[in-house]
Formats: sequence, C-alpha cells, structure tokens
Amino acid sequence: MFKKIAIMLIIPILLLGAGCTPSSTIPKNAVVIPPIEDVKDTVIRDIPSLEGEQKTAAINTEPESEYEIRLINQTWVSPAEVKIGNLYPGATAEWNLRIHNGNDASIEEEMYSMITDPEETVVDLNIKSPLANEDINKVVIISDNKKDNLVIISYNSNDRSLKISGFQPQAKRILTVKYKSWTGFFVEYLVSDEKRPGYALAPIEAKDWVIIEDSTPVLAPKETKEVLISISIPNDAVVKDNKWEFWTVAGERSGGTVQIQMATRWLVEMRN
Amino acid sequence: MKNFLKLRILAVVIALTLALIPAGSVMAASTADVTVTATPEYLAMTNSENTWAIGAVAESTTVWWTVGDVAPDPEPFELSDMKSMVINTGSIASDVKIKGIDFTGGVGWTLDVDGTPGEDNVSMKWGIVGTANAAAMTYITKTDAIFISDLAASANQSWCMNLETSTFTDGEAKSGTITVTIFKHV
Repeated sequence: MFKKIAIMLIIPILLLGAGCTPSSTIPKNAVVIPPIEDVKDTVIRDIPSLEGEQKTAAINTEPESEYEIRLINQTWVSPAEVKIGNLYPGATAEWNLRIHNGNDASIEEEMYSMITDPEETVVDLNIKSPLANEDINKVVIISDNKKDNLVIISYNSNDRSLKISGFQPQAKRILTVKYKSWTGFFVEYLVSDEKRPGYALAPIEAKDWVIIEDSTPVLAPKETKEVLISISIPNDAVVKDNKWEFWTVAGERSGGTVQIQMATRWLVEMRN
Repeated sequence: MKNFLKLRILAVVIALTLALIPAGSVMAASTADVTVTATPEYLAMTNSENTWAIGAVAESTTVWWTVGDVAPDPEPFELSDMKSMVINTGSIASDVKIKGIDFTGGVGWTLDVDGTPGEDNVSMKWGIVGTANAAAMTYITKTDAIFISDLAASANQSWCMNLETSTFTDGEAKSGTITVTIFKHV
C-alpha cells in the first residue's frame, strides 16, 4: 500500500518537476522570442525574405534574383517595426536592427593646411570618412614641405584620426591625404509624435532605458551589420502608459544638405 | 522497522510535493513573459539630389532649389521644375517626414516658420508637382512634419525647396541640414 501511495505521489512530482525545469533555468528578465509563424527568417538571413505580411504588388512581381540584387546594391534597414509584449520594470527586451550598406567603397582625397608648433613632430589628423578596413598601409599622405618625412603610426576609428609622425617642427605645409573609405552610419533613439493608435509617446526616461550597442557603425561595401537594441526598464521605474512607442533612426552620415534616415517603430506593451 | 522506513519515505515525498507545487506555480507565472516580434520588412529610400550649394545669398531675397535654380514658371509647379526625387525603395508603403535645423556658422540663422523672417532668420519651404505657387509651399520646421503620406513601395515623389532670407548681421558662411525620415505607414 505504501508503495502504491509513494508511486502515486512520485509521478505528479516528476511531472511537476519536468514542468518547472525549463522555467527555473530562465532568468526572470529573460527575453523570450517566440517562433514567427507566418513570417520567416527575420534574423537569420542577410536579405529580408520575400514572404511577409506586408508584401507589395511591386515586390511580388519582381523576379527574386532581381529583388535580391537590388537589396544588395541599396542601403536598407530592417525590420520596420518591432513589437515588445509584456514588458515590466526589471525586465529587458532586445532585438537586432539590421543595417545594409548598398554603397561601394569610395576614394577620398582631402587637403589640410597645417602649422606645427616648436618641437612638434607628431600630429593627430581627423579625416572625414571612415578608413576602409582601418588599414593605414593604404593611406597616401603627401606634404608640400620637403622637410617633412611623414609616417602614419596608427588610426583611431572612434574619432577617425590618423597619428602621423615625421613633421618638421614650427613649419607650415599643405597636406594631401588619399584613402579608401567605407560608409559610416548612425543609429539614434527618437521619440516621434507620429504614434500608432492606442500608443502613447515613450516616457522621457525611456531614452535612458534604450541602449544602442553601436551607434556609429561602419560598414564595408555590401555588408549587413546587426546592431543590438536593448530596452531595460529599471526595477523602480513607474511607467504610466500601458502601451507606448519609440523609434530608432538609422542612416548614412552623408554630410549633404539633405540627410536621409530610416525609422524603425518600437511598439511596447507593458505587462498588466 | 520496514514500515517505519516506508513511513519516513512517504513523509519526505509529501514534504517535497508540498514544497515544489507552489514554487513551480510562481516560476511558471514569472517566465516566458517578455515577447519580441518583428516582420521581415525593410525600409529604404533614395533621394536623387542631396546637396544644395547655395553660394552667396543676398538679404531679403528668395533662392530656389529647382531645376535651373529659378522660381517655377508657369504655375502651378510642374515636374520639370523639381530638383530632386524621393523613391521608396523599401518593401512596404511608408510615410515620409521632413524637418530642418537652425543654420550654424557665425551668428547663425534661425529657421523661421511663419513667413516673417526677422534679422538673421531664414525660412525654408518645400513644394511638389501641382503646388499652386510659392505662397502655397509648406514651411520646413524644426520638428518632424509629414512630407509624403502613404508612399507605396517603388513609388516616387519629386520635390523642390526655396529659402527666403531677411537681414544679416554677419557675413560668415552658414550651413544647415534637412532631415527626411521614412517610416512604416499605418
């Protein structure tokens, strides 16, 4: 009899245990990304799938090969919209924003007027575009001062500066710098007054909750890069609205008069 | 002795059961909560002309970013007047917003939005095919405002701009940026 009772109790315990095991290994603030049923390959493929809810007639009628070539040769950002559900103070949600660079590498030629101080032989020079592959061996630098004997020592990608030695102290010259550049992008947080019906503007504090892993990515020609966007709400935060929206915008640092950027909508729904 | 051992085992089992049941419930309720989903849509846009090198600008005048850099004539505006073309090269119908900033350089120029630019103020406006005349163009403000609504994938919109100046207090070079943002149409 005891054996039967014991078995009857052990079986439910085992079943309960099986049910608890996966749960107990997931941290409380874990992000659970459910399978996407009617849309595919959101994160895996470099090229957005032809399949999806929002296909357009123009895209559908285009042969896939042409479509993919077009995607390779143009700059794009994906996804257009991310939905976060059941978020709560203390939790974190994250998603990769994918940015594709459709540009080719370009050759830059820049001129600088420079005067060195007494005893100054090493100078940091900020170039305008990101140096391709950060390869200083491919940079050509020419001085019109014959007493200069210039050597590029290093490149700092954070401020796009070349450290150059061999300057004649207390002298002036015109420098010509030629180099191959890749494309610099920006990714920024934005609150827009353009909201989905039913959604409020993001709380002011949300700007501090959203972490952009790399806000100034540099992309090689035809490269697709994933930039992790995390939203982490502090435990003690009070969020007034149940549903709110923020945007991230990404684009090339063009330097032109008209700056193009692509905005991804982030729709957040708090847990009740 | 054998029965005593069974009783002890049973007691341990019951204790374990009671201990695990509530813990299991709490864990189940607190996990699998946060969900993140997205669809494989992508946003992309081109603008055929991204620069406007205005050059020297006189006080109290209007300069045009049109074909030929002149005021459209005849009115309303025609396609042949348009300086640039925005194309939605993304996969979904999208809206496009536009905004400007104050110009920098020297004392700067403040972007005016009511048509009466004061000292060191300028105003900028955009127009499209069919815009009746210069007065009917839309002011570019420092906050995002709708520029194109529901632009289908592969569709395009040609456009132009002008800049109206007032009086200046310095002669330093100025620069400003117009930001055009594309986002999913709802």
